[in-house]
Amino acid sequence: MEALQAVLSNITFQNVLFLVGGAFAGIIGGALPGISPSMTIALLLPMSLYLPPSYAIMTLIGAYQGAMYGGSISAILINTPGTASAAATAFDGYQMANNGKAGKALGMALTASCTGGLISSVILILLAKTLANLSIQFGPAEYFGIMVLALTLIAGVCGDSMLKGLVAAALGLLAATVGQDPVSGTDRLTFGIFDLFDGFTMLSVFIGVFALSELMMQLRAGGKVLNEPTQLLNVSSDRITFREYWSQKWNILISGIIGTFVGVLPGVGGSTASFLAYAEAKRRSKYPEKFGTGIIDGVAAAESANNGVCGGALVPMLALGIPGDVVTAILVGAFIAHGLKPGPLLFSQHINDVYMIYVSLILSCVAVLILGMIFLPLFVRIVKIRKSILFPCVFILCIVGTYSVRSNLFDCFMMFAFGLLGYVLRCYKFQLAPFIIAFVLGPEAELNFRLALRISGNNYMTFLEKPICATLLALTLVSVYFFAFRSRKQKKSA
Amino acid sequence: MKMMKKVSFALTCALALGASAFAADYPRKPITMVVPYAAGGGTHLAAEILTPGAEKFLGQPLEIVCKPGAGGAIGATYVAKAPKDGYTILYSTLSLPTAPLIGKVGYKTEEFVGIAQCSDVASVLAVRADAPFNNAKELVEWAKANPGKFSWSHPGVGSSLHIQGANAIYQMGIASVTKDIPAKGTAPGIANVLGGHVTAISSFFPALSENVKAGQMKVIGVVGNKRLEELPDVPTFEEQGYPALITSWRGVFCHKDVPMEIRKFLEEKFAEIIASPEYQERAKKLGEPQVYANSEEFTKVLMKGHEDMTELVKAIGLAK
Repeated sequence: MEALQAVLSNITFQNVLFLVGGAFAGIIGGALPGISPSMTIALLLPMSLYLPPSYAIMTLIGAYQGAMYGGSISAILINTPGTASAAATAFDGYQMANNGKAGKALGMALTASCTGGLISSVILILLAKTLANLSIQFGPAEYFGIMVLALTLIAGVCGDSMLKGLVAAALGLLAATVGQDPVSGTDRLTFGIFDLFDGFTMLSVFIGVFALSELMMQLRAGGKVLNEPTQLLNVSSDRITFREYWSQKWNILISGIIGTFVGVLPGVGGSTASFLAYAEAKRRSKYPEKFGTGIIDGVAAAESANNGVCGGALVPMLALGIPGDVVTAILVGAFIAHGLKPGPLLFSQHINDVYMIYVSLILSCVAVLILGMIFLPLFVRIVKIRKSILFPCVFILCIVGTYSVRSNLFDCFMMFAFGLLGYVLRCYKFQLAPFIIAFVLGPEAELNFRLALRISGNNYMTFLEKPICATLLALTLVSVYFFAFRSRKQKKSA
Repeated sequence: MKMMKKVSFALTCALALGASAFAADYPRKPITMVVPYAAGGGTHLAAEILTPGAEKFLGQPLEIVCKPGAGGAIGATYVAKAPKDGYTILYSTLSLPTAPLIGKVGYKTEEFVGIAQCSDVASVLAVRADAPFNNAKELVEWAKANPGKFSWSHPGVGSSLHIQGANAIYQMGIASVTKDIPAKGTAPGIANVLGGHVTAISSFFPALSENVKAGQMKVIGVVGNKRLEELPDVPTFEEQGYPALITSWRGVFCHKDVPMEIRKFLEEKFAEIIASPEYQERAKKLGEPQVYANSEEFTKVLMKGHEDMTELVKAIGLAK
């Protein structure tokens, strides 16, 4: 009873106000390509230093959930994931928008995000300590296992030509090698350009390969199509129905759980979670070949997973004092600046603050849902704007967004280069998804592979000797079998 | 002739007035402080606490721009190439003299001059609580008896924690029987130690203070010249016979070509900001050990860092 009272005392009017404010800022930040969730929180951080701790926490956690949802908006509307974790959402979401179902896609993204967030909040509250202890069992070898498992998704998104898909993936891996060798520190493929010392900035690659190449493709349609006046269609039919949402309940639940678990692992975040969830949804589905053509399953899986990461990432932060991803790392800084020290003693010494965090997590899902529903019709209308007006705006947004990551103009040139690459790939009917998956997950897989070997003294058997890693590798084989062989057999016989 | 003298006298006065007018004119617009690290990180936070209320002292707001990359070199190069009018200054760490030694960057350490040192952070070498050694000597014995088994984590090749950790390892003479394991930041490193995948971690104390308090981890030694306030019972490596003294300092820099009056102005004002009770309180909450040095002293610190790093980087094998 006391606990319940303590929990309820955290729901004050001002707290909720700041929460909603944070969520709103988060949604905007997440939607704008170039402003990642971590940057949104980093931007809010100095402001939060002036606020008392409870308001600051409410604002930042609201912003966290909002940003993870916000990324889906631009992913769906303009094929530019606003955050790396929304990359998988773009696969199906943008196709849905092209098929005139932008409202459904946005609605699914919103409801899946909020549900995923709630699922991870519940798991956090019930299982924090257990999960934290489980998470530290994951060392480099186990991380490698997860990455390889997620990489098998490439086989699933190759489209018609497995060969072309693998070539695209190889290009992604090549692009990922540019930069500092993660173990020895030497430059790789930087050609002396020291802006490339840290490799290609992830957002430059995303925005270039997705958005810019899309703009270039659209330009081919010619002046007549682009100047078609804004259609004032009746928008009311284009929205998600409760039945459609309910049909995805298992998908959302499983994806949310996957997202939570991936979030628990320090250093792994939204993009890995959404790729894994997408792959798993496709594997489980009765119609896997439809993934990528624009079905709500893809959007639901990706969005539920990436909001699932929010609650999951807080597990190691609260239980061990170790942030679970980039955003929680900033949150730790914010908490410390407010005199809260996340760590194993938090539960015993500052339980009230823990309750406040729980409350803000759950309420933020609700806040995002309500804000999203209010603004959804507005977002949908963006799709209907005359293309000759919309595209230049998107173009400017891309440039500004890319620049804002490191305040470095070089990143914008990178973006143009990748835009060209994406355009060429599409002209020759290569899929972009394998490229991006390999680019994002490749470096993680490499780093962990090499670290695992380094720790074991170059003993390759270490991957099979460690039980968790061996299990993950076995699952990888199953996944490869399914994606590469069975689904193609099904397609051929269909 | 007399006319010439009068005119030249008048001109000189005008020039002198002009010079002081220039100085009195500064600052006319907000001052940009470049932080060459990722937004939200430790260095960014430490820089941010300088900004609230800075307008009172400087006359103009102090704005922070994060330009991360290349271990701090991108931001430093930006400031080195910016106009030398005092409106673009740098907040940096031990990485400033280190980066040019490790790779090709766009500036030389000598181009910078210190304005004010803000902090001096010692690092620690920490292990899991159940590790079979409690101090440096026992660690050395264990490492030598089990070659190849001792591994230690740091947040990235060339980072100050890498350097500081290597400093300790080299002083203990066990570099050949141990290996360093770069991680993506301190957090995965702590997780690796807790899970038993890696033996030790080179970290700043605040990141693992709660784990130590809870009894999950223990600190073997402090890399620095005095014990940490929070850990009065843990000796430094020097006390234990292995002089590992490299600490990671942070502070404000500007290019040496910025006019002297502006540099003096900045030095004065930053000294005031740092001495102010509001800043001290924010710094205390952040957990940053405050060490102040003025412009001259801090420049000396910078150059000493350059010397120390030249040697150490060669020893670790990172020199370009």
